[in-house]
Amino acid sequence: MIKELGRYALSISRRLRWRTENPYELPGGETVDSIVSKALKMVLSGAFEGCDIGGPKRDVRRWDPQKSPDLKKYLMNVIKSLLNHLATSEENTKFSRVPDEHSEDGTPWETGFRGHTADKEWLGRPARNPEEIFLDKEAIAINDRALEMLVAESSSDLVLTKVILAMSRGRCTPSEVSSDTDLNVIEVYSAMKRLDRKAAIVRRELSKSTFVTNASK
Amino acid sequence: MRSANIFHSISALSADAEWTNEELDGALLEEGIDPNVLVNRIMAEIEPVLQHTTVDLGSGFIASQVGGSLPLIDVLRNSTRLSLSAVAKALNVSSGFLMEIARHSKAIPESWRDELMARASRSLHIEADLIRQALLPAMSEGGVALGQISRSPDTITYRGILDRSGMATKEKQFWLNLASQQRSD
Repeated sequence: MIKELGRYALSISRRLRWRTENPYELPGGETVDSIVSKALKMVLSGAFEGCDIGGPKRDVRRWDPQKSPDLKKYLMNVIKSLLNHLATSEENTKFSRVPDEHSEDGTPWETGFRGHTADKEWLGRPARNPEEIFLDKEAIAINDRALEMLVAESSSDLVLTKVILAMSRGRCTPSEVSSDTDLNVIEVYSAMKRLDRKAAIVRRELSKSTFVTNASK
Repeated sequence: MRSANIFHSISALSADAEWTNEELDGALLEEGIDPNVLVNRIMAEIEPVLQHTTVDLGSGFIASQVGGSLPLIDVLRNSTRLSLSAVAKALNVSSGFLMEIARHSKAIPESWRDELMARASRSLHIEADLIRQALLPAMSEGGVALGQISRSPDTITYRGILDRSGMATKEKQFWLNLASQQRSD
């Protein structure tokens, strides 16, 4: 499970903007593995301390197996929350703006920074200034370019091409993708694993080219 | 769908799939991370906490609370290589509902078993017999898995299962109707 959590943390980290310009070495001396360790320690501590007395403890996530039977999924949500929290921290945002991030399941956290993730309304501003509008347009252009690269990267795999096309047509759940293609749900999930690895390649290439562009300015 | 949303969905859905050790090693190595170094660093960090917990990071469940393996969950996960959340999504139920059914299979109406078998076969291509058998030991022996959770007799009803399932009212109603249809048959 630890490798899976590490891969997941890196995948989320790559989607966030870091002052360090490195998805592994994060601000505040954190790294992807220190974030995974932190999440595990928080959840494991909560699990054995059974801290119902005296209200919620800081740095302890209380996992309720009844409510969230899938521990790995729960840990992934904790990792995502920690990374979002770090991305919106002053340490990271002092010199850069963090783009909006959408929640995967909308699960609010029980303790600590409830609602204080990058996907929440509190980060929204009443009106965007011209620089922000420009940055939004730039982010959309980069994502469109990334999708083109993903399509090119996946061109030799017919299954992946089919899945990307289905998603481009607005099919986003496994059952929707499954009915839009002739793949079953298990094959759709298998395709998602391959696509995620290809997406990582695309992100690495894009960050290299962005670095070169910035350096040549 | 916007490009950003496509990448977001890929990331979320790939996290719901079960990755093999080889796939994980490959993915991490591609990112320039040595999987063994990553595991060793994290294990060293969490070692002190691990000594005081019953969590089995291999299976992902707290042993003392879940009581070891549950045949239904094992069949569903081993047949699909998907996480419990992904399996539940594919069966259009909550993961809490699946866990409750796995723990208290004795309490569920036959119509629920049939519905589960049909959904598993339709959405996940799992043979109906596998699901039926996974639910049988607990029925005939008073619960192999249940015995590990509690020594007291299992008194939960199917309504109790629904109450603890975390499902929306509409879904709960569907399963209630299914149960009452069977009673009137």
